[in-house]
Amino acid sequence: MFLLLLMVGAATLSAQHEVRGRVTGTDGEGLIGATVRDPASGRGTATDLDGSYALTLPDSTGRLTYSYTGMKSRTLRVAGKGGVINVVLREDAAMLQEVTVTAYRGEQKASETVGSYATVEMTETLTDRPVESLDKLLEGVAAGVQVQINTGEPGRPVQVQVRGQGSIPGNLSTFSASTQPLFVLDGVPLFDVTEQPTSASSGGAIFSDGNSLALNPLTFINPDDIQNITILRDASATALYGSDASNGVILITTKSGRAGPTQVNLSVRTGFANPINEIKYLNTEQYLELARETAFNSGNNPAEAGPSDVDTDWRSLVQQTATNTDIDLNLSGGNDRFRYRLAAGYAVLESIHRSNGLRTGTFSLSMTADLHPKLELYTRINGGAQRKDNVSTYAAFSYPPNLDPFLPDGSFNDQGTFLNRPNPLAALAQNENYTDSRNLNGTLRLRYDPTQEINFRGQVGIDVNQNSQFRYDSALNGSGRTRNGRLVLSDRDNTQWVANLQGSYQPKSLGDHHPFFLLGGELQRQDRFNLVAQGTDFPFDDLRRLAFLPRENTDTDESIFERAKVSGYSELSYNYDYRYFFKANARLDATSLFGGDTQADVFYAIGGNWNFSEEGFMASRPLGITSGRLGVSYGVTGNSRIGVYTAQGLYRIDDVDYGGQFPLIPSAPINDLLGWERKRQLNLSLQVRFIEDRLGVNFEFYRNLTVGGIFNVQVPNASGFPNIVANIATILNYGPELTVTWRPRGADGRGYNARLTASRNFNRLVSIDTGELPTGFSTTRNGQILTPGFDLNIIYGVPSLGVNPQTGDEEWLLATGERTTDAAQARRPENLVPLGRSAPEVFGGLLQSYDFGPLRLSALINFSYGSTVRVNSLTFTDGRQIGFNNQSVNQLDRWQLPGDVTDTPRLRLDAPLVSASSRYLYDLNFIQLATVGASLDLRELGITWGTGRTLTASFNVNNVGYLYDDDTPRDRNGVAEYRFNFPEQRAFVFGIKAGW
Amino acid sequence: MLLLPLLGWLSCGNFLDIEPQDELSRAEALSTIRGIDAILVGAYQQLSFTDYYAQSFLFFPEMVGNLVPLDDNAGSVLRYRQVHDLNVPSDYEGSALNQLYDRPFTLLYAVNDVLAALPDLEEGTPEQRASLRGEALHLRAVAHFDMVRVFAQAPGFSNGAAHPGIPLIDRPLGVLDQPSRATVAEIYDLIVRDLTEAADLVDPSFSRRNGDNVWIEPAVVLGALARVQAYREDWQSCAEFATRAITASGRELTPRETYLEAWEDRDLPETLWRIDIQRLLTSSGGTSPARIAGRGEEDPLCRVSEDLMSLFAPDDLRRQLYPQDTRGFRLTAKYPFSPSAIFNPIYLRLSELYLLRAEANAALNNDALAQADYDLIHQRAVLNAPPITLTGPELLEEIRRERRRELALEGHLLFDLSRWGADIDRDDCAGSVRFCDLTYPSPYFILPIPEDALFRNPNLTQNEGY
Repeated sequence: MFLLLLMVGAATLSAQHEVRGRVTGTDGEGLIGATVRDPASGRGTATDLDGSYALTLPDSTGRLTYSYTGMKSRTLRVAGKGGVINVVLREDAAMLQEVTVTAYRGEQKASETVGSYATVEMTETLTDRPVESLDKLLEGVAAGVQVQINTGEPGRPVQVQVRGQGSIPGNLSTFSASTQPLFVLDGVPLFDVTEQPTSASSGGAIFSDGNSLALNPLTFINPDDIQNITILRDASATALYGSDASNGVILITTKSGRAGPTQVNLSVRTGFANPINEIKYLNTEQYLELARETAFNSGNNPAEAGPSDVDTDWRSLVQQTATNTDIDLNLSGGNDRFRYRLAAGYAVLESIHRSNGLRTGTFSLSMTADLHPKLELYTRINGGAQRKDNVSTYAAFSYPPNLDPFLPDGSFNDQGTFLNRPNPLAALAQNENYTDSRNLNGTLRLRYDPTQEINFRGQVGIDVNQNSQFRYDSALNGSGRTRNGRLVLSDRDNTQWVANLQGSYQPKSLGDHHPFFLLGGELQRQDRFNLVAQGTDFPFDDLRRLAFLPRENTDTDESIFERAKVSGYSELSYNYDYRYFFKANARLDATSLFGGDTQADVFYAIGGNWNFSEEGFMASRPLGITSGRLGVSYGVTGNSRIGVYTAQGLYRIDDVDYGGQFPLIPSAPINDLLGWERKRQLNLSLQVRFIEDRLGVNFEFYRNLTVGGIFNVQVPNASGFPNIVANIATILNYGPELTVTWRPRGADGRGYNARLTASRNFNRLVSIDTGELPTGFSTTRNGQILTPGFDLNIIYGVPSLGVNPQTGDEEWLLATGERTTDAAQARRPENLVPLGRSAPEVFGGLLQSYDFGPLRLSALINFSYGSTVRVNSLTFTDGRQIGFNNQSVNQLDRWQLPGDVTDTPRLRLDAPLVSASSRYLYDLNFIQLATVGASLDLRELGITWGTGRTLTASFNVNNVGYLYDDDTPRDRNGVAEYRFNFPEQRAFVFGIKAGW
Repeated sequence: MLLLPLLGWLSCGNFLDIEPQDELSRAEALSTIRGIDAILVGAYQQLSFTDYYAQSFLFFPEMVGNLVPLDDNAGSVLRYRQVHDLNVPSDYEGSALNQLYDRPFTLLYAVNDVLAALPDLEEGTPEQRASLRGEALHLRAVAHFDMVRVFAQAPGFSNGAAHPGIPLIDRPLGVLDQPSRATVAEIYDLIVRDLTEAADLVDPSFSRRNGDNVWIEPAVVLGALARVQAYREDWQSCAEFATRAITASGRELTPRETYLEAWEDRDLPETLWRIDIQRLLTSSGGTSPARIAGRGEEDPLCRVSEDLMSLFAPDDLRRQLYPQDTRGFRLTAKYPFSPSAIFNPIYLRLSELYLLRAEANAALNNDALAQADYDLIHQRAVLNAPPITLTGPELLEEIRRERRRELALEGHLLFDLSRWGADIDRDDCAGSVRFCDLTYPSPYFILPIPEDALFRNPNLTQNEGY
């Protein structure tokens, strides 16, 4: 009786009940930190290390939502129920995209990150492309990221630009900062091979591409080993990288092993490629017609044009069918305590050009071990070896078609033109040029979680890149004749290591308050070493060793570059009820760059998000919005890529003596003006999802102000120096970015998947603050003018008005409005006007796939609008070079008689060249079908093999074609052809993947 | 946490102390005798460039009467043609002559750095440091002297030489400094001060030098002083220093018997100082002095003027230094072409000192002394020439003519005419010439300040007439 009374009393007094239980995955393992929440009141809790939770709820509670990253959420009715509720959550394939990799924190839920991130999942659409480095795969898949590919040659470095030209570019200043983003592989920063390592005046020339080829260090990362690539774009996302951050940061995460039975995957892909958009040259008949006309017009003997009975197709002699082959094998497996993944790959890429191929072998080993429930050890080692062939054929296809590469007796033609201009076939047979690269990149990470709220993490990483090049120009052909054979051996080595230690504290029992605090310190060091040895005058052509030369025929040079950095970083983030997010982070960098006084700088950012879709007023889902977020961030980051420079002045040793003694020459002045470039970045973002999160729209607006941009400024000669590098430019970049994503309905991934990105960039050189130096600064270099108030990307030139129909001379428009045929006048700087823009105004891409079940189709389309390209004029010289170079078929349209209306003037040997003429500028607006692929899951079709787990066949066409906004007739050359000297190729790849 | 003291220790420690590897930091270079010495070698080396003493500076002053340009369009003759025509544009239009307003500043930066750092140097003996200081001062004076002769009118142009000179650089400048032009008087004061101090400091026994006359010695400084004083028309000092220099040099005038041979061998023992340009030997010959009008040069840029030849007596030995080649071009054996040898230009030789002393004495009316020195030079060249009997202004005229005869093609003519206030009087001119004769004074006795330099430094004023 008494007990009953107590129970009733208890029940009526509290009007609450307790719910508890365990949340697990399909494997029965408890899910740590899963959220259990009442969507109505917002009250909730998180599960503990065992997956258990306990929650006291008012009786009025009707539902509870259980959620966990990567799993499908479940909402259960709990009204009236008490006691134990155990929930099993299933993996949600679609939701796997909801994870973002962030700086120094690893993965976070995308809905909880503050800052601008673009995540690129490495689906087969991308990994099946026969592309040798992963930066090329970033084209068109992330808003704001522009990949500038300047050549079809494989293995060369690629320029990636995030959110516009933030520094004065190299064509406007003899010394410029690199705009390449920071690439980080599992926490280990990779080096930027395009960075100029030494100050402007010292002898870096010996390491120019002519002597020692720079290869893209990203070719060692096999795209099949990559889990995802995350691009960090704004200050809030990148500030933890401090002085390396202002060009954007690209985080590459490799795949790790997963618990479960051992899985083995084998993939074999092979295919071939042929060139596209090749420049159409003249055949012998056409060539002679033009060459004779040119000679006649110039008062020379037309017979000098050469023989008519030789028709050499130079191109076919130096080209071959390109092939590509790629074999990859990986195994992964493990259990709760230990997981591993081992992968190895071998790829051979023969390009369309003979002796220009690339062979790469890579391996990757990653292991995760739980040494203790609170201690996790992770290690990953990547290694690779590569051989790139690079024998130059000296632009073979530009040789006149009536030259015979062979003499009557069958030997290589070394007469006439070929005395000094190398015979391409002879060069291929007699010269050698190859580069061997080796790379090792590894990291070791230890994670200790003494409690659920405190976490410590220490990491060390190393990246070693070593290149050796062997290049021999034989005396038997024109390339080495004047020096009687020339050998160049060069070594380019780069080693860098990083070590950091950080701790974080994330209290979890503060109800709706979720703070997070991180503090860490880091050391980094980079050592770069270049060595070149040359030899000439070889007694025997086939004994190509420096050891066989007398000492006076050899020459060596070396260069060393070292850099170290000590940093501290910290982040404080807080959210209230997963609705209001705030994040502040900062980093202090002290560097060895500036010598003498160690210059330490602080870089920081603050940002916030409002997940407005979680608010009460959004519960009715107006406009069909299922999730929505508004964000803003502001911060200041730095650009450290300015090479080593001492503020206190430098002297260099000249290798030319005076009176037998060696001199020290002043090479850099006292320059306390020099520091890092800083970028003030503002970012606004709006992300909304509709139709059950299937349609996502992400709109961002950025405004980046580079303050203290590096520029090589001309100073009074009286100082003893012609110019200094100073931080005096202010550059503004701003623009909108749009990303639209569409996901299929089901959780199994079937259906249509698309991602559209579009970006627009506005750029302006705000000012050049030269202090007391003359203002109103403008300088011309290669036809570009640097004028404050204008876009840095503008290409200047003099407008060509075509050819005068009466005289056949080319006419240009002067600044005064007059027409002139006087080339000297046309070349004057005052007549240069803005004619185009070297960077596109709008660019983006559409990545889409359609999964029917057994068949999956995918395609990537890139588009670009508003840029202009200045093409090489060597193929349309109007007679000036026809004597020794084949010309473009467009020259057939030359002016011949009064009344002819054309753009090609009358051919003559002394045709003037105005290189800034608009005739050489082409609009570059295009849509490119970058890749089209299909993959067939053979198992779903019923084809099985033993106990095999997966079996897929794939077919992929890479670089299918372009649609240019150019009305050039089909039989003539236009921007499609002129754009690249080394033509692009269209590749067809077939592949089989098996797993068991 | 543990991180902060670690961070603190490391940033204060030497983890971040990394010196640039391919170059020396200024602090490191200036803190040792070895470094300072090498910087001075670098200053000497600035003199050895084609756009300075290896070619430009030697020959452009000769274009106003001793040389005539041959080729029309070639870029390398452009600079000489412009001076010959007395029509040098202020943008220098692609000629490298504007480097004369550039290269000396690099030299000045280096020597001023050395002069500022020497007082703090602890290494070496006091004599060593003094000698280095002396060398630096001498080179500073040389650079100023060269520029003030090229870009400013001679001291006699105005009363008290108060007309615009060149920027006076006696300390390392900041890169943003925009110095204005000091007066010619101030520049010459600096030159004389520097050379006077250097004369006492330079020590030829400094062990790093090997005794080759591409390095300076006290006689060189004294000789330079004699020449400078002649420009200032301080004849008393000029004569004094000339005598001191001749004595200090311990050398003898090249005798008649070996005179021509010495030129052929490119080694006149009477040379006090010459500039080492042997490093140019490896190039194809385009940059060597022989390119201009060297005997044996296939494609000379200039020929020797008949105006010069008309000054020589028929039996003057020196006529043989200017032979005509098979094409009718008169070239010079002073800088003969050879594929395997190159001639180090002479800065100062004994003959000039005697001529300077003769000039000084004639101006001081010490005719007998002047005649004696004149005869030394003249009678060497003309066998059996009678002793000179002229006096007064005629003697001075004749001494000047002898100077032109003896020192032709050694980089003096235009400067000498300027300081004498003499007109340019030519008969042998090329067709493109603007003025074949030019009366002194005229703005065109000097070169314009390069337009580019004016743009970078608004505190500079252009020379009148340009």
